[in-house]
Amino acid sequence: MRSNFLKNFCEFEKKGGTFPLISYQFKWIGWAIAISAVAALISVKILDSSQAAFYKQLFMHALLIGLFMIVITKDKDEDERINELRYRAFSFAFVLGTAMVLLMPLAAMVLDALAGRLPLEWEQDQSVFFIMSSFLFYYLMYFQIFKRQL
Amino acid sequence: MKNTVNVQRAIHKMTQADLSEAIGVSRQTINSIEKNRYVPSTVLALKIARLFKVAVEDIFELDEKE
Repeated sequence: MRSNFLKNFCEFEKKGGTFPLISYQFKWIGWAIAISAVAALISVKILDSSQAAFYKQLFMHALLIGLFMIVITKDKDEDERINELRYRAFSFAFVLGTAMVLLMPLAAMVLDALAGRLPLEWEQDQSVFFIMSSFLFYYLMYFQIFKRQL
Repeated sequence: MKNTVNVQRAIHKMTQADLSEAIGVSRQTINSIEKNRYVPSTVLALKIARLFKVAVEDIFELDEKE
């Protein structure tokens, strides 16, 4: 069963199968979720509710869901060029996102050392939100740049 | 890779929109191909050549550097 799945998957890729994406209409839903989540995050900060921490996490998660929905929706004019640009944007976002996650603690350490803040501490304070949003933003940024330039 | 898609298009009195509709891609893709910013897949190159009733080599040509 497992080998059949892999075989079918490889056959799909061999035929130049496109990345499985959802309908273009979902892009607007994604934007609506993301924008509402940002507005909700701002209001949580202003209102200072007793459950602020919970709502903050909830709306940050909603923001990630909105961004992810935008990322996995088809483009208005979906064709082989857009598909290729999408793969390129995924690659760039992955490499840049990973490099940032790996280099950030080292950069923070060097800055601490230069500022004389001793003893040095390993600041790996990179939440799921930080990492995920970096990857999603980088992807959206590269995809838009490639679409305009290529 | 160089190409003469715009020349072929002019010969056949087609706009970028006509060509894009005929081969099932966006007008931006045709524009990118003509400006040598995007190298089409073999399938797309064959579709373009078939539409203009010429060989692929008559439209697409390797650069000297390639």
